[in-house]
Amino acid sequence: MLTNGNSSATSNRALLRVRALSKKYWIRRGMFRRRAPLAAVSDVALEIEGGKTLAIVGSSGSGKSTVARCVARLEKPDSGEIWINDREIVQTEGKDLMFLRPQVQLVFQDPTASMNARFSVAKTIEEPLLLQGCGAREERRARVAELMREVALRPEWMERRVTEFSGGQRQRIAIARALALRPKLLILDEAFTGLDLSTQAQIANLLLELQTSHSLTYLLISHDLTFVSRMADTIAVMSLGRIVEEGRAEEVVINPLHPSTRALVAAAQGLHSGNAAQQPS
Amino acid sequence: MRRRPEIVLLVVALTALHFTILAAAFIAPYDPAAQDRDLPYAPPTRMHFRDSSGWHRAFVYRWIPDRDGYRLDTSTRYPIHFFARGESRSVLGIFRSNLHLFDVDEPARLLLLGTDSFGRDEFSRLLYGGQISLATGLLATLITLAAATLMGTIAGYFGTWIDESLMAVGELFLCLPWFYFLVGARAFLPLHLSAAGTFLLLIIVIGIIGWARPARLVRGMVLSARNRNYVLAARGFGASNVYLLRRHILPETFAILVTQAALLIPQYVAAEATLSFFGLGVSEPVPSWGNMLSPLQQYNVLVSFSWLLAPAVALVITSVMYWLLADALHHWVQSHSIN
Amino acid sequence: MTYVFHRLLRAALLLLGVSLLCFLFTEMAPGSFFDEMRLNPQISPETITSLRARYGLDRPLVVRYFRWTASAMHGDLGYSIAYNAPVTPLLWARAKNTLLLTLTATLLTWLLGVPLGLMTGSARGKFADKLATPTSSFLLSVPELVLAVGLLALAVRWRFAPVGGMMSLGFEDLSPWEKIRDMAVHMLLPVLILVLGGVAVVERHVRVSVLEVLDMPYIQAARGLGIGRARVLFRHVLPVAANPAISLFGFSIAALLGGSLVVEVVAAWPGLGPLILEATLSRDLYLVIGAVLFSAVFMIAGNLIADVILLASDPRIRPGEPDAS
Repeated sequence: MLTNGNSSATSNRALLRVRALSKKYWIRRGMFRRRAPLAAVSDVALEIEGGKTLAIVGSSGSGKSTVARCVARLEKPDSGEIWINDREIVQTEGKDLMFLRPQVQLVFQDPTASMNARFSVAKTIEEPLLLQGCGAREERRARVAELMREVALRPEWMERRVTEFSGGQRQRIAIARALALRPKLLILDEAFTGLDLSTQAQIANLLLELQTSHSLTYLLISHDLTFVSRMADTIAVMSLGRIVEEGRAEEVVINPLHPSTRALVAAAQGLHSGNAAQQPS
Repeated sequence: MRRRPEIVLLVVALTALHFTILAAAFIAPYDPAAQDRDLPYAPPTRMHFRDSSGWHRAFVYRWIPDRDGYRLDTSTRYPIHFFARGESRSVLGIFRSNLHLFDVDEPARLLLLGTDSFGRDEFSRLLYGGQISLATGLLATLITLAAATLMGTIAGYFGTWIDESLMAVGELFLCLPWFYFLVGARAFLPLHLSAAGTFLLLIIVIGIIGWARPARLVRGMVLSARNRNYVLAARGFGASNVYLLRRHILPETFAILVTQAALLIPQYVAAEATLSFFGLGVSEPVPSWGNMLSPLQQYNVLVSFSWLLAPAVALVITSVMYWLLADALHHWVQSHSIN
Repeated sequence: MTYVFHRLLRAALLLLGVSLLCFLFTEMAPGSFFDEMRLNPQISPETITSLRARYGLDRPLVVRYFRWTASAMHGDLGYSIAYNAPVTPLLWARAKNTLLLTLTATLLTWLLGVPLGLMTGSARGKFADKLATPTSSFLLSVPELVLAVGLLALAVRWRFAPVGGMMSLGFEDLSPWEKIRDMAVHMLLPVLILVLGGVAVVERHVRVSVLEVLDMPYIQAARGLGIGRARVLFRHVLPVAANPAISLFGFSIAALLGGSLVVEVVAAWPGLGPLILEATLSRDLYLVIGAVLFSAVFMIAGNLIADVILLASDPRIRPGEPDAS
C-alpha cells in the first residue's frame, strides 16, 4: 500500500496523506560554533484510509513522535505536504488552522504530564470545547458527562482532581478530552507505554470500540511491535528518520524484511514470551 | 491541601500589625509633628492603678522639668480617657475623624514611649512613621514583583535571544553593589523634594533595582511550564499565547511570587529605614522608622534615652515576622509540589 | 577553557554596561555640573575652563563617553569638589580601609560559619541544632541597620571596644606591634557587626546543603555499609555540600567592597561607605560615580573569580555545557 500520488483505487477515501515530510532540528554545540542539523524526519510518506489504523513503530530517535506532532500540527515541518480529507494543512495558518484543529487530536504518552494537575476532570475535558467556543457552560458540562460515559468513567467524578485517578483512568480522561471536538483522526503517541499489561488491554479494547462507534481513524505510535500488531491494519517501520518497511500488519510481523524490523520483532517477542511465562494460561 | 498553622498565625499577626499602623490616626494620642519644647527627652509615662488613697481607674502623673531631668508630680491624678473625642485628624488622607483611642487631660501628657529632642510623642511618631516605612516596603515590593513577572515571563516564554538579553540585563542589575547604587542614584535626584515626591521616588528607585532575582525565578517556572505536555495539548485545541499564559503558565508562578513578596517586603522596609537614617530618604518633619533613629548617632542620646530605640524594635519585630512567614511559605510550597 | 572565555566576555560586557550606566548618570544630573562649580568661590575660573576642556564638554555625547571611559581606564575618575582633589586617590585610600575591614570579617565569618553549619547540619534535632537554628534565623532576619545600631549601643554602654575611627590619637608614636593591636581593637565593633550577620548566612547555607546531601540515598547506603559518621561527613557529604557554599563564597568576595556601607557609617570606620554618603549629601557627583564604578568593578571581578573557583572545584561544569546554575 505504498504511496501513489493522487487518488487511489481504494473503496474508502484516504483520510490522511503525507508526502515527502521532512523536519530537521538544530543542535547547538558550544557558544561560538554553528548549529548542526539533526535530521529527525526525512522524506516520509504515509496514507491511512478512513476508519483504519496505521501504526508507526521504531526505536527511540527514529522520528516517529516528530511525525505524529507534525501531523497534529503541533510542529511545523520544514517541507512536505500533509492532507487531511483532501485539505492540505502544512501551509494553513491562523483562523483556517483553528478550524482544522478539531479534525486531528493527539493523545500523549504520559497522562500525568499531559494534563494540568490543578484541573478537575471536568475542566480538563472541557478545555478544547472552551477554546473552540462551543456553547454555554451547561452544554459543555453535558458533553463532558457524555464523553466520560463513553470512556467508561462515572460522570459523578467530574469535579475530582485529575491526580486522584490511576494511570489507566487518567489515560481514559485524556482520550475523552481528545474526543471532545469529534476528531476524524486520533493520534496515539506511545499512549500505552508505562501502563501495565491488563490496563493496556483495557484501553486497547476501549479504543477499538470507539473506532467502530465513531468511525475514527487511528495513527498509532509505538515501539512495541506485538501490541501494535493486534490493533493496526498497516504498519510502517521507521529508523533514523526514514520509513524502512511498510505493509499489512500480519505480514510485517510474521515476515520482517528490514533489519530494524527484525530487531523490533525479536525484542517484542522476548518481552512477551517472558511475560507469557509469568501470566496464567 | 494541608494548611500549616504557622502560616495562618503569622498572617494574622502581620495583619494586626499593619492594621494598627494604618489606624495611627485613631490610636496615636498626639499629632506626630506637635512639638513641646518644655518636654524634650521625657521618659515614658507609666500607667498607675493605685496610689495612697486606694485603687482607681488607670491614670498617669505629669512630668515636671527638674534640674537635670524630670520628676513626677504625684499631687494630681490624670485619668486616661478611652475612646475620647479630641482634635480632628486626617485618616490616611481620606476622611477626618476626632475619635481617639486614649487621651488624658491637659497639661499632662500620655507618653507611652517618651519624647524626642523636640518633645514630640515617640509613640505617635512610631505609628505614623510605620505608615511610611511599611507602605514603602509594600509598594516597592509590588513594583519589583510586577517588573519581575513581566520580564521573567517574557524571557521564559519566548526564549532565544529575548531570554538571553533580558537575563544579561538582569545580571547587570544583580552584580551592581545594590546599596551603593541606591545611595548613588539618590545623589542625582534633587535633594529636597516635597514629602510626597520623595516618598514616590524612593518607592520607585528601591523597587526597580531588585527585579533581577525574582525575575530569574519566574523565568524558571515559566520555562518548565511552557514545555509541559498539557500546554502542547492546549495548543492542539487552538489555544492562543495569552490563553496559555493566563490559564496554565502564570498560575504556576503564584507560589513563588508570594514567597518572594514575604522576603522582599522586610528588605525594602529596611532599605527605606536605612536611607532615611542617612538623611537620603524621607526627611523631617515627616517621621519614618529610619529618620527617627538618626539622632541616636550621637552617643549620649543613644545611651541615656533608650526609649528612642523603639523604631529599631519595631523594625526587628516586622522583619522577623515576615521572615518567618517567608520560611514557612517556602517549606509549604516545597512540600506541596512534591506530589 | 571556552567556559572561562565565556565568563570573561560576560564580565567585560557587564563592565561596559556599568560604565554606560554611570556615565549616563553624570549626564542626567539636573543642572550643569560646572555651573554649580562656578558658583563655588573656592574653585578658580581657570580650573573650570581647564576641566571643561579636559572633559570635552563641548563634544557630542558618544565622544564624551569614550573620553570618560578612556580616562577612567587610566585611573582618572574626575575631580571632587568637596575635597578639592582628584577622585581616584581618595577612593584608593578609603578602599584600603574598607578591604581591611571586610577581609578580616569575611575570613572570620567563614572560619566560624562553615564548621557551625556542618555541626548543626549533621546533628539535626539535637541540642546544638535547636540552639543554633533559631539564633541564626533571628540574626538573618534582623536588618543590618538595627544590628549595627544595637551593637553600637552596647559598645557605648559597656565600653568593650573603642567606638569610631580606625586609630587612636598618637598612633604614629606606637610600636608596630602596638599599632596592629590598636587597629584591631578599633576594628572590633564593625567586624563584630559584620560577622554576626555573616555567620548566620553562611551557617544556614552550609546547614541546608549538608541536610540535602544527608538525605540522599547514597549516604544512607554508606552508613548502612557501616562507614563511620566522621568519614561519611568528610569524604562524602562535604565535597557535594561544598558547591553551594563556594557560590556563596563568590558572593562574599564580590561584596568585599560594597557590602559594608551601613556598618562603616554607624561604627564610624573611615572606609568607602562614609565617603560615598558624604559625597551624596554634598552632591559631589564625580566622587559618587567613582565610588559606584569602583565597587561595581570589584564586584564583577569578584564574581569572575568565584566562577573560576567553582569551575575548578566542580567537575560537572565543563566547557560546552549549558549554565549549571
